[in-house]
Amino acid sequence: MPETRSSERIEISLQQLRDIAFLSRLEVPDESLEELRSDFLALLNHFKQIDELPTDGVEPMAHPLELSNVFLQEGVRCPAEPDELLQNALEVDSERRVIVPRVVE
Amino acid sequence: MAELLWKYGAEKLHAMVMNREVSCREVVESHLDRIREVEPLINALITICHAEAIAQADDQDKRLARGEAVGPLAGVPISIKDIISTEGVRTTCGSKMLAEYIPPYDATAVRRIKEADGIIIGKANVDEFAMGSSTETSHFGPCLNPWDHRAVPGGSSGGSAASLVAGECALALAEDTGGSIRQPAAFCGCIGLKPTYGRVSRYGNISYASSFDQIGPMARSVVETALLLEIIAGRDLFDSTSADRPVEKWSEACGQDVKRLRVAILKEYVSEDLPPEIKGGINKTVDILQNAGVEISTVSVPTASYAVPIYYVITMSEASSNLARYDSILYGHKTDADDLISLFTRCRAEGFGKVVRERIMIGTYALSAGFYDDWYLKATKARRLVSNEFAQAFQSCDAILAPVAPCKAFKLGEKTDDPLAMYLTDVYSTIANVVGIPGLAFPVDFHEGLPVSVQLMAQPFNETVLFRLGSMIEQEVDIPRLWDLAE
Repeated sequence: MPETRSSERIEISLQQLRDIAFLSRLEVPDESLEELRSDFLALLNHFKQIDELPTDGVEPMAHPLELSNVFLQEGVRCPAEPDELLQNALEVDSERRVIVPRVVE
Repeated sequence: MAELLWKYGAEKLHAMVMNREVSCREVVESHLDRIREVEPLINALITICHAEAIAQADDQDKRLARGEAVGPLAGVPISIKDIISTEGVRTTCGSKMLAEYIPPYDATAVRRIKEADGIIIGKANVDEFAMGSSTETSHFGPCLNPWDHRAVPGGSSGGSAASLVAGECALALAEDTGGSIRQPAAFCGCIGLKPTYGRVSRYGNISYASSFDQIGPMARSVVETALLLEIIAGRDLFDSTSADRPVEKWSEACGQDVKRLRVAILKEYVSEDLPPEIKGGINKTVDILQNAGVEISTVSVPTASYAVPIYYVITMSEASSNLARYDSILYGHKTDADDLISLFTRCRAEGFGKVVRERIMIGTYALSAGFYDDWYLKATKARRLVSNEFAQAFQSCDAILAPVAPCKAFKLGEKTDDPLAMYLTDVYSTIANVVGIPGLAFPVDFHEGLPVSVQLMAQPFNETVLFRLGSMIEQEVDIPRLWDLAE
């Protein structure tokens, strides 16, 4: 069974875009969706030329270096002071706890 | 004397400081004066490290006065691409998302530069999260090409190349995901090396696409590019993908004989469709190489034509994963929301620009259930095919010659409304990152006031051959400095 798809142009619905936006954790206003779809389709229809390459049985290459696992000696390290690490946080209370919107009722 | 110091290269500045002809303070003040003069014209730096640079210079002057040792970069001002973490100095990635972010640690490459007494003079402008080819997507405004302020400096390391060429610094530390060192070096007319993947630690480099990103040097001469690589290269326990390879004396390779080296022209990238000035740059390089006794041939890598789609599908996928960390809680753009999901979606929509949002979404699509096999997996298999073909091509040559980009620096705004047109400026540069091989870009000509450059690529971990060839070609071409023309 060849892996290549049909040569039809890729299509994408506005609802699919809304779903992708949610998966991406991005607010996308409805008035931006058409422009987004236009950019999506222009790019994806160009990218799909990789379908022309015969890749049946080819080992995927996730990384340019053929690395095996790298093991390090375990040990406690403190690369920075807690206060330094928290200086960029959204909101921190007096006990160095990061404050976020309520998660449970 | 002091007012001219910014024109000097890194080697000369270091020698003058060591000979006590000038103080480090004088060198830094000269560069800060130059920054005040040209920065309003080019917008190459997001942050100017005025106080930090003066403090570093004074410390070095004191140590020199006491007869203490200083490092090989003492007295040398360096700009750092603002995607590379600097302790205590904000690192913005050219994004509203990180506009106020101050890293609590240095990137390994930055730490090594500091240990060598390099003086960090500023954080260089960059396309947002390094996603761009023109430095126009920066939240801090576009950077402009020092040779022509109507043109882009290239990207994403446009600020690094522009700051170097304009004399704001003597060396620049940059990063290349799909051409982000080589293409701006080409558009601005300096030297840029994308090292072999793994040659330089990525620790502290804020990730865009982890299997492509590579920190590397920029300079105004080949030997200074080699000197900076010697400082930043080498294994780092903080980056398990950094290669356990010895750091070589690449500066000593510069000027070595090139006779009987074999350079192949990449057939798929040197076609009749190239603009005449870009083709002319290739032809001129071939003539220089032949006159020096280098054997020239042509090599075909048919899958090289697929580098751009392979590159974008995989990098967008990796970006969608890497940029998932920005949720505004521990760092990043702050916003108000009543619940956690709204906080995430709103801070990301407000904090990221259009290009970054689109790349995250396309990457999310390529990795999502039902589409993963057709996009991400297919692209990683195609990446293997290209890599295998390149390995085969290097059986018959020591280096491969190709254009860096299909054009010289283009006009501001020319491609911002057409993402595909912008992506296609990377058509010849992404290949080195897809395969993980080193690439050296350098100018060989000038055409209508803008530099024309070429690139040489080599087998993994053979930067040496690039420095040998690049330094020889550099001696045979007459590339002006920006200030030569102004005078």
